Amino acid sequence: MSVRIIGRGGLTVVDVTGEKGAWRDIVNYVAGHISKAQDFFRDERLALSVGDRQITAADLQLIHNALRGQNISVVALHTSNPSSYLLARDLGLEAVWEGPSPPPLRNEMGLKSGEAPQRFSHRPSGFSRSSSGPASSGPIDTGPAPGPPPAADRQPAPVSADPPQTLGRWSQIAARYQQSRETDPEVENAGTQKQDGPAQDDNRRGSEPSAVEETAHNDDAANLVPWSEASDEDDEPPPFVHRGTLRSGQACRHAGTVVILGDVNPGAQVIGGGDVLVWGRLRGFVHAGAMGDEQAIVAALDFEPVQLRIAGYIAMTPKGASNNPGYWFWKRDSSGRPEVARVVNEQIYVDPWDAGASAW
Amino acid sequence: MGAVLTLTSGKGGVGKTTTTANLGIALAMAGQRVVVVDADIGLRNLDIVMGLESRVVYNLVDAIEGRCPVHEALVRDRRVEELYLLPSSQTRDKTAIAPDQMMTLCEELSTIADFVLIDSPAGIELGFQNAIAAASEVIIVTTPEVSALRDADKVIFLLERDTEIQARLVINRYNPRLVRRKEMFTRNDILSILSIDLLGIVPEDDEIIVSANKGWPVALERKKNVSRAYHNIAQRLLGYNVPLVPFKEISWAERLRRLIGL
Repeated sequence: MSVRIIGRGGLTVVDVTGEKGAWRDIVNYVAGHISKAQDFFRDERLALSVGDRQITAADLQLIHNALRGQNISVVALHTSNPSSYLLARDLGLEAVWEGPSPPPLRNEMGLKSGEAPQRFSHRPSGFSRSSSGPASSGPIDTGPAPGPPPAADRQPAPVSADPPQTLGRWSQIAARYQQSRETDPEVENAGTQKQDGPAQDDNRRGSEPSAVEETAHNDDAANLVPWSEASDEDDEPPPFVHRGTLRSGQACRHAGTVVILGDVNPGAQVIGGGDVLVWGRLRGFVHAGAMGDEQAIVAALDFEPVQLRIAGYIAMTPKGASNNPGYWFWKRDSSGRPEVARVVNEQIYVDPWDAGASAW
Repeated sequence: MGAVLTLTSGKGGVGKTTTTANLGIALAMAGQRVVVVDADIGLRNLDIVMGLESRVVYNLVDAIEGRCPVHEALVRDRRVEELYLLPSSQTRDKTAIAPDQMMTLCEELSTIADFVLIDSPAGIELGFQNAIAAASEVIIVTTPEVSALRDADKVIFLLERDTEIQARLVINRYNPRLVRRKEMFTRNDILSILSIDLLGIVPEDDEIIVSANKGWPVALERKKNVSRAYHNIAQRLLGYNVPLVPFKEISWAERLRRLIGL
């Protein structure tokens, strides 16, 4: 089996570029090899080089589960396969592009409609209208692009001229991780989901080491919410819960489902890859299914968003403008009931949330 | 050590300067030693509103750059017991001082005063950062307008993000008549959006503008109806529990309806 496992100061590099066999066999081989030298590999991080093999979330889950016993976590994926690259990026791994062309953008993938529907496979089938249909509109959100979750070093590795098997390249990569680990703890926090405490201790809301606030210090318009933890059961990123009011100018972005325990004021933004749930008044801008998931929903106790987007669809305020222009911006007659918005027949519909009679 | 209160709003023209002047006077009339600081460098106008323009010798920038001791830059307002003004400079701009200099200055002022009121410039840039640098408390001044509320919301967000300061709200130019006609936000609308503590409501009144133009802030005359709003705010700042002045926000028909329980 042409699998190379190189341990190097805190980072294990597993190179399966040349191996064409079944993924399960590779995983078993790697796990077996590592368990033989447990003490050497203990508490390590693992970078995976897979060449142009197509990696699915289940594959990653497999290797993750196999190595969990040894406290080894997969932190990086080097690949020249576009969908594997995007998947790794989505999962918050350090994705390094090795292909000859520039790394793929998400918009290209949105048209291929490979991954997006299966994110929500847990949803009962009563609400699966167009899961197989092509995601006709990729995210046409020309504004703030729903970028990769971690704000960490996103530059693809410089495509070296060396053939991919040389040890020199791996040393380089290992040195890079080593460096980022030593010098920049925040990068690690964002990129590898280690369970360290938040880098900053000023989480004033007290309850959460909220990534919103952490990144908000850099730029309020572009604060990305990195994943707080790798999910074990699902290929879907874990939901992000924000406690407190999102005020004007604040933005909350996350690749998965976003839950806001508080109000979303006018001028605030919530952008989620999955559903957006607001336990409070929703009066700002909201974009659910920002990566193209048309089955995403937006639900709020008091539903008055200025603008609403689900996947590629846009809706203006559902209540429409009243007779006083400008006034509805802040105050409209709300139904006083929780409401939910979803895409039906290529249009966004907003319905009252009927307890017990919901669509799913 | 006295309290350092910054009055800020984000949007301009909502009445920060007028409120600062009147609040300073009301606090001084309540027996406090007060210094009002005009932090709007380059657009000096707190001294005009207070009618002290002619007596300004040194200013804030002079005091910070060490051209004079701080106490010499203070202008005493003789109409009340102990009220001092630290005017700003008209010729310099906000880059002339830095937040840490402002902190040093306010530390010095708070040793001699019970209350230091800082009149912040509009905006959320350096001038705002200077003004809140030393604040132990922030008072957000807003009017019941969409734009002012939006900006106030942003300012509260910035304060929550960057500081530990708990902001309180003064609603300025509140017009009960328009509220009655459902053409203006009610105080409950405003509070539900901004969700911070309410410090007071100042009704819209021509008297405030007229008196500011004369350099004789309305708070100096207790008899005037609107001056009561400022004195009430001052009392609340001193920790007294003063009820809000009742406004006729609902029409008599509505009140009658509520009275008979419909």
